[in-house]
Amino acid sequence: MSTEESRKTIIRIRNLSFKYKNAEKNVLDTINFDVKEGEFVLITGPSGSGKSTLARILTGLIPNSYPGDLSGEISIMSFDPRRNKIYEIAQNVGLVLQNPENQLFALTVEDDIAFGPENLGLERKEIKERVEWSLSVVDLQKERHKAPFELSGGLQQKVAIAAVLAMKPKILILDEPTSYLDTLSAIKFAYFLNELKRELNLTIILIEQKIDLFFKFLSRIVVMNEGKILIDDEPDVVMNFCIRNKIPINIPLQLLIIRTLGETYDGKKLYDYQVDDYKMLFEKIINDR
Amino acid sequence: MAKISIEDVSFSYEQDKKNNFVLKDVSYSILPGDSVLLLGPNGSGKTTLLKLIMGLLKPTKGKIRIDDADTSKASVFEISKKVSMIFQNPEKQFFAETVREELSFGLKNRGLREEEIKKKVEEVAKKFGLFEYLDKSPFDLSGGEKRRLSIASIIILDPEVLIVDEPTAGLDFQYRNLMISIIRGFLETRNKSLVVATHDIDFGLRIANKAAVINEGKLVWSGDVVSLLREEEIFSKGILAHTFTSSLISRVISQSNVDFQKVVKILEELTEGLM
Repeated sequence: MSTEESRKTIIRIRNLSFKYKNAEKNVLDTINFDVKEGEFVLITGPSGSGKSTLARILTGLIPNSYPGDLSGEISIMSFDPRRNKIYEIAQNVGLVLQNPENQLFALTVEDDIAFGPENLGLERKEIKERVEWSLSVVDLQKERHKAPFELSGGLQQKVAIAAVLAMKPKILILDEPTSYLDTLSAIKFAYFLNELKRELNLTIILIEQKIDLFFKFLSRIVVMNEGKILIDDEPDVVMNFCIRNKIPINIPLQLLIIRTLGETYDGKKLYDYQVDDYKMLFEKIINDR
Repeated sequence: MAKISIEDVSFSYEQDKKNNFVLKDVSYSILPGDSVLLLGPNGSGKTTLLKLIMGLLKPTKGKIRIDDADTSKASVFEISKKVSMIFQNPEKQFFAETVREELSFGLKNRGLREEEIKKKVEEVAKKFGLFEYLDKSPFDLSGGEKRRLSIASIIILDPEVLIVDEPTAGLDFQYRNLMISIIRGFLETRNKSLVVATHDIDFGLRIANKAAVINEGKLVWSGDVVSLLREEEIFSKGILAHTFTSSLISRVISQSNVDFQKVVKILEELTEGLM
């Protein structure tokens, strides 16, 4: 048995449907979705497909803060948001939003990070240890006394993550965390997230449009559309499915170039090639016209 | 056609202290027909510069002129006759009860005749796929429709200069492509100009002919986009970063001398199968 198969399932969802209060139709429609411990799962799809709603259910915000009709089986590390409170789930599942400014509020980085543990009623010593640990994980010790709003977008997103990590979650859910980051910060962020996952043995669920930034780190890709899961499989399988069926998502250009040239370059992983290899392949496409 | 001259502009949010400059000694001209990509890291001062051009902020030093008018003396209303801006998350700015009123608002302010307004509103609504929603509330539209309405309400004013701040942040594949076709449509009219601040360099390369790079409040590079792609230092110093697509384009045009427009067109054809 491979390690993938022997891993524990920590999220199990069966026939999940949800309709926001006063809405006409379901935003999520009979979803089945499992996540195993240590996986790095990317969820993508057009706006309005139900991605953020799913994240809200996995963090207990639905139905605790957003009322509506929720049905189906939900087990998030054996929690069910209909039976458990947000703070119970928050100690296991952390949520990072698109715009860190919506998540940060304290006057110093340190205070922002301490806020969650303080609200758990932990002892001072434990709070202090957690803050130190979170600061070191995201490498923000130098910025600890600064106001979060003085920091660049990339650093702000790290503060938001540190604040979530201080709750010592097992699962980290991120909802389009790179939307407001410049390209360099976004690239660094992708590597940082992968390192974080390995070091802390986290399970990551990432909602994202920029598939190519994270592609090489992913265990699976899930594509959603109109409240349903279109496909949920290994990255290569999902990309091929989306190209074949003309699903409008951001397929990495590398893959499109290789596919255009046919079978010749199969068998090698997408990121084993350097940009110069792709340049040669791309010039072949130009010359073929 | 309008010309915008940014002349030695510095800006500080702390007007009294006059230190902590967000922008420092920036000089740049935007000519009719220019489509300028404003690039730079988070916090470099791009949005501040756009607000200065719109007259929403006044320079601490230097001046900005739109044709011959000094923006720190002209009213925002005067400036908006020539220059219009689409903000980040523009759908937060709706106020009218129907889509028709939302689209008519700016035209009424300009004193157009009713029949003329009706004709223009319906024409633009058709172009943006909003015709059947004209009598609906803007707040009942879906996310994508709201975004189309917000852009339509600016395009209908037919500005000479269109300014856009981070138009693709959080947009999915289809809306990003829609944004590109809207902007291209706007630029088809001769002598219109565009300034777009974005981190999305791949998007920018599809619509712009010029680029200006701001870092820590200073204009550190300006020129045409093809030269930017041949520029190694800006990228090696970490002021800008290449995406896979932009580095591929950069290598193909500088090492193999393939025409830039041709490369962009072929790359678009590669993704077209998905549209």
